[in-house]
Amino acid sequence: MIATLILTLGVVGLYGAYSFGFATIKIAQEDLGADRIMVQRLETLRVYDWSRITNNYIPTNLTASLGTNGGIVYQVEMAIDPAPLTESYSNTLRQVTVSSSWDSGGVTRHRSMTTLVSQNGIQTYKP
Amino acid sequence: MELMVGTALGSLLLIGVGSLYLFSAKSFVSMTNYVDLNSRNRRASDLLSRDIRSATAVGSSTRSTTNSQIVLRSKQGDVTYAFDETAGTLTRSQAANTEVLLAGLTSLTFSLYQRPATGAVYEAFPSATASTAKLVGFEWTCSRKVYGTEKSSENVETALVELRNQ
Repeated sequence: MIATLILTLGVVGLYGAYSFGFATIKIAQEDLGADRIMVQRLETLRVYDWSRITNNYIPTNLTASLGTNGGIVYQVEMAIDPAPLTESYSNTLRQVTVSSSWDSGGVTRHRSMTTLVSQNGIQTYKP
Repeated sequence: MELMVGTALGSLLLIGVGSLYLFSAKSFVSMTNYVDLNSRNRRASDLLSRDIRSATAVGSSTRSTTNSQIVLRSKQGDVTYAFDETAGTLTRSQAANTEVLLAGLTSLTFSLYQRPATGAVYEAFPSATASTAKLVGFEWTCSRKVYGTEKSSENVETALVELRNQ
């Protein structure tokens, strides 16, 4: 009986450890997916001129998904706010925050990235 | 009689232990593969993204049934990324240096896009040729076998990167 109990505990523990390992990898992949989506939003921000950054052209809410992660849909929020600076040039900067949230394993997960965008450092062309 | 029962129980126990061993070994290899693929994909993606960002232009982008290739012009010389479908590899070449970044690739595509047109909706980028490309998209799928099972560890990488000097 004791031997059976020990064996059962060992087997259950082993399966539990593997389940935990796979769950951790899944979360890491989902994190990576959210990371890619947010980086892409910040990357493509650079092809828009300053007027589009400041005139509500960039949508505040959108959804995105990747081919990976079993078709997880990420809710993406983009906020463009005045730069948290008091210097005279602060009006030529905006603080862009991209947030991503998704449901996984019954839990809503959140990640966000923040960067400053400069009027003089961004593309100045008008397509 | 006792011998038969003992043998039967022993056999069942051995089968159970064997199954557990196989499952554990497969799970361990699978987890290791996922972690290794993630890390290699991340490195290849970071390197490719860095090269695209620092490129001054796309020299060429070709695609055939067995391979895809993109040449990025830069001040340090051309950088070529080539996908060989037969070998399942992604190779980065610059001057005399050639490095195999990824193995086990099952697909890889490069896409070129222009700047958004006036009045275009957000993130609607027209497709481009090498000479008009402002953004480069890439997507690949990597997989590994675990005990002969195809694609038991799979990873997809996708990104859209801007040529900042173009």
